[in-house]
Amino acid sequence: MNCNEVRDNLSLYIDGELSEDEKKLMDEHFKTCSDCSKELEEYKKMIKTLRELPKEEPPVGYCKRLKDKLLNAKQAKMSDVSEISEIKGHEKLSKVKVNRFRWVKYAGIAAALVVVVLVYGMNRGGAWAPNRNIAYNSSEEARAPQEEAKSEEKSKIIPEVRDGSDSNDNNDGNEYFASDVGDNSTAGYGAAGSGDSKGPTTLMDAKDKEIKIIKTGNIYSRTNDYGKFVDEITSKIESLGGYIENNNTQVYQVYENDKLMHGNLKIRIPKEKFDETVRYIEGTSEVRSKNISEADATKEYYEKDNKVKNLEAQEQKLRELFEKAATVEEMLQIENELGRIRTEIDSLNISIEDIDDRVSMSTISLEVEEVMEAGFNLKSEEGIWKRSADGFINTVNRIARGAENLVVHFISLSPVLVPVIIIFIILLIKIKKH
Amino acid sequence: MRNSELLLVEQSRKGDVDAFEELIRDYKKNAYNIAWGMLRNIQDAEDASQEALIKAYINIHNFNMQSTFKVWLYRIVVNTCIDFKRKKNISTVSIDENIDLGENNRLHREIADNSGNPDILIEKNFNSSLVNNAVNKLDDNYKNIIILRDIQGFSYSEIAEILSCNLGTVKSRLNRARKNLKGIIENEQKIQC
Repeated sequence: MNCNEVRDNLSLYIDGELSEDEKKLMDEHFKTCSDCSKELEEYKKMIKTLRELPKEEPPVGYCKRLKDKLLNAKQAKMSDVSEISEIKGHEKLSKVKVNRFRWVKYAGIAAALVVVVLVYGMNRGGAWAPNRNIAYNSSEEARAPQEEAKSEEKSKIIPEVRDGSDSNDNNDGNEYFASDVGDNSTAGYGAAGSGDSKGPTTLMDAKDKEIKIIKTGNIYSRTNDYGKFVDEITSKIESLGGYIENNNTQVYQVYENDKLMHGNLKIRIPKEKFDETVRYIEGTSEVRSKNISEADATKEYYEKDNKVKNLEAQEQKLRELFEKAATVEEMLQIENELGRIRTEIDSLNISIEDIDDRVSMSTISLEVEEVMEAGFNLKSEEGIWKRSADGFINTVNRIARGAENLVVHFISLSPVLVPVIIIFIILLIKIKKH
Repeated sequence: MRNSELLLVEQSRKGDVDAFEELIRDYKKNAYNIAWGMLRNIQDAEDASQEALIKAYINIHNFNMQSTFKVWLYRIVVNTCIDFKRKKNISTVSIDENIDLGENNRLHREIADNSGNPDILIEKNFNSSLVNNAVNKLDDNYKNIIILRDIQGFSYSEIAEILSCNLGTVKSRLNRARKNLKGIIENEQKIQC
């Protein structure tokens, strides 16, 4: 036994709380170590002094006052049973209060945890997404865009439709053709049915102007089987003489083994078949929103047409001048002018053709979303019990999935969480000590 | 537990104040002393010890006979004093301030109370007041255990029951308390020399 051990056991040695063996070892040590035996003596002296400290005498009248209080307490104890419990249970009561407080505290923590699990799990599980029963797997998400890149089809860029009413002030330049398009178009607009134009237009006189209506549709619909739906609509459109200009498909959610697809299709269809196509889409999928608009491009069309005619006349004149040109300088100037006019004519012709194209081929922007069967089942007549049972099972599943997610995230966050928790516990202990 | 004590407990349960007074006759002085040791103020010691005794009287039906009445009573006294201190929020600083006041009073009283050989008396007083002061400077936990073990002379197991902790805690805490106390005394002696 070394001195340190002896010092640690001094207290017990003095009180005789050591075992026989330990006591023997201590005795042996004291024989050899003067320091320790001196220490022992000092301790003994100190304890002796403590033991001999004079007892404090209670102040005069202590017993009398105590007796009074006891009698008061007795009265309270005897007179009112309910009061008894109040007074006697003062200690108890406070304990109960503490216990209740603790209960609230732990319940609060538990409730907070449950809320966190539920909200987190449900959010991860896509419970608030339009479709029910959809779990979300983040690892699959990264893969989806790659698949997309493969399935994406060619896209064609088309200049945006300009409103015909923009170009009113072009009348000044019209030398050869009076522009009364405005009247015509407003009159014709109301009468313009879906299919009263007669196919691609050719150059025409001011006298038999054709009304140019561009039909566009925006449809948002849902389907149970995305692939089948797209295949069907593709073949249908092809049979009607249209085509799909742009198909943008993506996986937007993965539920167990099923991928749920979402797509934006740009369908071009001959204007005569427009209504038929819309009806077809309505028949084969669940249309959620539909917006069909008709824009009148007549005015714009004829303005451009007039411009072209003017420019062509100008070109003709220039060519005559070119014949008469004497110097090279003059010839170059005229050639420059001719080039400019030609470019303008070409660009106008292109936009005229574009209008023609859009008039003859209507555009339908179709947004399709794939949903699980459950989304449709809701509509069918089910018993309230069946539905609530389903809901119950779903909730349980969601909680289980949420808990799984929580565990995964807890473990992945543990490098941060564990130190935080340790700090929290230390703080808690410190607060308790205070 | 003594039979007479058992009888007194039974009678006290029925509300007999006299029986209860008889029951605590041997203990109330110690109760007061424990309270005084912990609170170092005559008025507080009286209030706290009396509050504890009243509590014992009111709650005597909760006394389950598993421990001795003495231990059960002193547990109430110690807990009441700890609560009392907490309620009054007596900080260490204010205790230090009180020491000077209390010390003067106490010294005066001790000299008046004691009789015998004046020389021995002075020497003893010197020592005991030094030690007494040192006890007061201990942390509450250490102070309590020194009061119970060295001043009141309870056994280890009794202390464990009174303080509601296990025997190992009592042993280690007492060891540390004594070490600290000795350190404080040695410090004081140095200052005085």
